[in-house]
Amino acid sequence: MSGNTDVLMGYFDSLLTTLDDDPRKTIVSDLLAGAAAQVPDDDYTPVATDTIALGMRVIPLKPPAKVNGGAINRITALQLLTVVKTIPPSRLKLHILSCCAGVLDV
Amino acid sequence: MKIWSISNQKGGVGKTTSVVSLGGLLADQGHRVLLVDLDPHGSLTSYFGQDPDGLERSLYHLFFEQRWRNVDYIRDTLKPTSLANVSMLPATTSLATLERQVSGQDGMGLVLARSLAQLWDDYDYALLDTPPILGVLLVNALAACQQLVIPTQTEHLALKGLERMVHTLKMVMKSQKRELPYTIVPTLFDRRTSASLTSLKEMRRTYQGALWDEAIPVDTRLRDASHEGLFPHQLDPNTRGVRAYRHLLAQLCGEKR
Repeated sequence: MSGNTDVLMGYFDSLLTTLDDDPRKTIVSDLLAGAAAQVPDDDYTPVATDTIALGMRVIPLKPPAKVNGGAINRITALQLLTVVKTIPPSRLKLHILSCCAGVLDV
Repeated sequence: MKIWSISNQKGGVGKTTSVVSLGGLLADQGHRVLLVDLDPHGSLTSYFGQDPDGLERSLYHLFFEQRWRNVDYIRDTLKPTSLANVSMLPATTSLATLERQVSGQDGMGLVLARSLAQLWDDYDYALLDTPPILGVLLVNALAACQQLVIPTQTEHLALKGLERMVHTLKMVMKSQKRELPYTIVPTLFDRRTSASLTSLKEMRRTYQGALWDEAIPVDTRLRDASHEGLFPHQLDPNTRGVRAYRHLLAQLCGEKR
């Protein structure tokens, strides 16, 4: 796609998508719920709270006790999700969500 | 309700004439027809004697305060035409400011589709007259319609506009993840000029399959009808322009392929 076409696609996606019926919103919720459920306890040192998700805002509160590439990737993906939720619906947003879904394996 | 959008990103190709001609012929067959003016210039609105600068309600107002949810409001916005079974959703010049006003609001391309859904059982056909520019109004029309008619003047510059229109259509289809059938209609055809003949030949070579196999001829009686505020078939049911639109209607309705 040319840059011009990419800009127009973002414009069309924004005009033709509402937050009410945006399936991506459900995808994000599912991602968060799935990620929260799949954190392996032996990779982490628990801290004060046992929850990592508050609505759509993701706060990773269980840092890894040892270097663990998979865990770091998952935390990075969760942090990325908190950022991506602030940008309007677009093809870029969908791509980032897809990448996060791959990392989180959900 | 069947919804057809008559669109091209180039002006002066016969969009309003096509909307009025096809709408009138559908009404003549006994159908209940709604004509929708999405063009801030308000050509269709003016055609039927309404003032785009003076109306208190128009399509523009449906974009705010979720009025598209209010069927009574939408019905009260409609205006009559010279046929009892044809109504019009008029435009006002304020539509020109819409792009700026709804900028950044998601879902603003779906307002017309949702408004027409409220009128689903009131009409058999809705014909959309769109502005010759890519923006929120054209996107609304493409999102709402089930079939697209692209009038294209048989001259060189119009072919460029046609190319842009088809490109836009493909992007909207990709965004909506659906196929939208379209028919390219050569208009203002004058067999005496080489420009018309060359352009038609070029269209046939490039858009084979999507191109209607006839053409709407230049016909001054179509212009006369707009002066009178009448549907062309009311003025003269046998003029060559009306006959051509009758053939086109048969094709669009699937009666002829």
